[in-house]
Amino acid sequence: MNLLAGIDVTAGALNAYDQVLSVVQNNVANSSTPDYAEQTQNLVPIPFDISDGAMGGVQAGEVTSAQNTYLDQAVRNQTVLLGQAQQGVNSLTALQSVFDVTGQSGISAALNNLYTAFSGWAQSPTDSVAQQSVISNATDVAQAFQQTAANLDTVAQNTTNQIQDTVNQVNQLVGQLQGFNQQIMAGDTHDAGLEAQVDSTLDELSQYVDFSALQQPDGTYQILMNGQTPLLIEGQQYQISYQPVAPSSDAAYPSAPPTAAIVSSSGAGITADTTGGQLGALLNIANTVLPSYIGDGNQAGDLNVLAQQFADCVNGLLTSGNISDGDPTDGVAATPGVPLFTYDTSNATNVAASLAVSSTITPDQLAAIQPATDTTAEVSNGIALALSQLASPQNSSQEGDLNGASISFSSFYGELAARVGNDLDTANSDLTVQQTAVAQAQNLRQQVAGVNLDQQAALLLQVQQGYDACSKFLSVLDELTSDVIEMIDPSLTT
Amino acid sequence: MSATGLTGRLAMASERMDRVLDGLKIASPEALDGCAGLLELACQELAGNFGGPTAMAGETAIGDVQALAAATGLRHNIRQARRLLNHAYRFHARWAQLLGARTGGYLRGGQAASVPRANRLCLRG
Amino acid sequence: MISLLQGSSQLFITELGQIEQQEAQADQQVSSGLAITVASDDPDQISTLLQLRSDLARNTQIQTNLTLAQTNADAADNALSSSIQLMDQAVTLATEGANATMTTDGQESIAQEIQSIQQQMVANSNTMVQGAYIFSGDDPSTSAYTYDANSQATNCVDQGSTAASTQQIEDPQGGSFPASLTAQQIFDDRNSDGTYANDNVFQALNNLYNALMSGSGDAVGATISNLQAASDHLNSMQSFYGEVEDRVQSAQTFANTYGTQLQTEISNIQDADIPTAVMEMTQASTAEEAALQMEAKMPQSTLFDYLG
Repeated sequence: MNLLAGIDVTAGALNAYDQVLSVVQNNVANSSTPDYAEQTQNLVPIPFDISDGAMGGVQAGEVTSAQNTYLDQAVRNQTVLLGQAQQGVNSLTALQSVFDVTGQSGISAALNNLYTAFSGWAQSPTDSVAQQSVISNATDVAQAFQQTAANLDTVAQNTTNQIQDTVNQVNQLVGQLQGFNQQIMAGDTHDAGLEAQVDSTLDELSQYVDFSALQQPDGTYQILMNGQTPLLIEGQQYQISYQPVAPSSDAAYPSAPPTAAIVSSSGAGITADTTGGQLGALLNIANTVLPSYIGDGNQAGDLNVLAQQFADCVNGLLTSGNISDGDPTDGVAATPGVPLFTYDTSNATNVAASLAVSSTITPDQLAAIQPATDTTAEVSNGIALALSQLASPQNSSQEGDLNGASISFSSFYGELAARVGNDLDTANSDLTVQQTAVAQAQNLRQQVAGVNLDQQAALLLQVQQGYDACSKFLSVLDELTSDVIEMIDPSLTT
Repeated sequence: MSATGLTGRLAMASERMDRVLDGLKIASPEALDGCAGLLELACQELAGNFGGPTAMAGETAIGDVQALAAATGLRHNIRQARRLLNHAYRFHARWAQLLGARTGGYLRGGQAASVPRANRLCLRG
Repeated sequence: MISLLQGSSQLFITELGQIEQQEAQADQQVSSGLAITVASDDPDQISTLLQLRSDLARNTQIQTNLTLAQTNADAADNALSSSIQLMDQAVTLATEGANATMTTDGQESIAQEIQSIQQQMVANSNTMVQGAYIFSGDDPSTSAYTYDANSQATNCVDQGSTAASTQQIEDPQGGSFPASLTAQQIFDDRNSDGTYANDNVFQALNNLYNALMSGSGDAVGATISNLQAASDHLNSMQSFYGEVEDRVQSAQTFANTYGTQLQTEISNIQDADIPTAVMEMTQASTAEEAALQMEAKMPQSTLFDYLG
């Protein structure tokens, strides 16, 4: 044996252990620093081959971080979903407050009061007090629609402002990362303190947008939004921006409110790809949820549809009736009814906001008389009765049409409120689950990042067995529960 | 079995499920072992004493609003638990794959090597 | 804002937040008495709930309408009862006047009584309820008839409202039904060519008056059959209102039952199950307290605190 070679190996090993110890000491000092991950000194085996003179042993390899891109990305993935869910809840809660369902105010209450006024008028069709009550309550209905439209506009405006704020926040955080990249390019690529700052910033960014952060060989971070749009490459930042987009002139509804678009620094539209994080949720509210109520280039918006259908129904009934019979023997013709409601006929997305009672109609111009036909006699309060029946429709001519389904106007409004209620219910559920998922992801990262290789191997073996058992039992339990539900209420097929 | 008995059993199963969710949030090996035990008990509570779905037919539990609410709540939690379990499983599986690739490289078929368990240090003096 | 806390602390805070939310929700239900205050409380029920409220509002107004219809029908019935009594009186007087022993002065005296009956009959044709003439058809603001002793050609009455009665009463079960007749139909019955019918009340009374003033007992006696026909006509008009009263009463009974049913359905949907809500609130509160106590007991130090 070559004694000298043996001494060399030992000396090398001691040197290697020395470096390991200094890394461990650094770890201890930073154990409570946010996002600080235990550094590991990898010990690389030296080839052992006596015939070759290679004596084996160990030397210190490159210091690599146990904090792996994957571990952090797993947490960020859940954080993106959390940001999305949280924003969804916030925005939908604001939207829900626009639709009163207590029956004390808003469109629902106004409609019921108008139906009551119609019924009272049917009982006393020539009574001026009853007629005035119809006009007053119709005015309240119009104002309720206007107010609801205005409130939705406010929600839309707030959403737009939040989109702009979020874009600014994203650009600012990427700007910070740009600074970090520049430090990395200039200095030590293994500064654990700087890495902690980078990770903290990346964590914060992930609540706003979905992105991938790839560490380059030179240590700098490349940030790609939605996995493809560059935000940061080495020392160069690429800012995104928000733009409102008005419908084109050949759109079905060219005067509709604008939608929101996110544009990359090169001018490319990236709205469709931006679905995650707070920004994704805001875009969904601005471009999908709100337009279903107030319209966009492709649709009038269901609030406007309801307003128009209701107004047209009431006007149709009134104009089909007569205010007075006239006198055929004297050659005096009957006086036909006049419309009660008016609205902007040039812009289908502006109906609710412009709905009003005709400024020229007087109470005695309300047409209560249903004229005689070939098969039916005249009924002096027939139109008033028909209007009263809008509360509890007897046939489809007294109903609205929501996506092809005949529905009373009260239920139509109920569906609008229920839709946002459903979305919010789902969002709340998602948020609850997502908050738990983020906490779980952070816990998992903690477990894995804090242990050494042997422990990690043992841990992975142990969890595998746990997963198999849990998965099996969960499947059985799900099936049993579904059976119980079906037993209690057979109409609920699962 | 009476409606009250069913509601009681659902409540017990729900209580077990709440503890399972707590365990899955941590997702450590010990927690997962605990979850499996709790899930087994919950399964027994719902199935073991019933004699299966056919024995439930015609029970007075039909239309029981409280039992229905308890059952749908339990199902919601089961699905949340499944989601957490899948999420944690994917995390560990992927981590095992990456760890194996870093320490053992790749196999002929392109798969990552499995994670080595033996100590890699070999000191020769 | 993403928390930079340790995983387990973050987890604890998350769970605490969820418990607090459950507690707040249960608290809201107990204090308001309502399970549904916003759409997300129970989205599947919102449309049904709003429609039920509309149905209830309509039913409530119909109940009010029916009360007025009942009042009108009662008033009409009373007016007809009074008119029938007046006709009976006229028949009695006619029989007296037709007696061969009656003197001319006696007949003139009876004629004055008939004139009084005529005026009362006209007053009955102008019966009002809450400011509306109930026998004026679709023109309730105009009186039906006015007594005018000089209008012999028209039986001493001048017609005011000529409107037909086509108004219908809303039935809570759906549809509608007629509930009134005009004064012309009741008191001034005509043939299809517009001439006075045999049972015309005004004509029968006026003919009696003229016969009495003529002093001819035979002439007076000849009016009795018309008077009886008019009386029979008034009876058949009264039976119409009897049917209306029955129909209105039946509609009111239905509306009362339906209203109660609607309110029950609405309550079932929107009212909080107070005992359950209180229990949930207590449970959430207990869970929260337990969670806080547990967290306080968790060890805060690590192994390194014990190393030198």
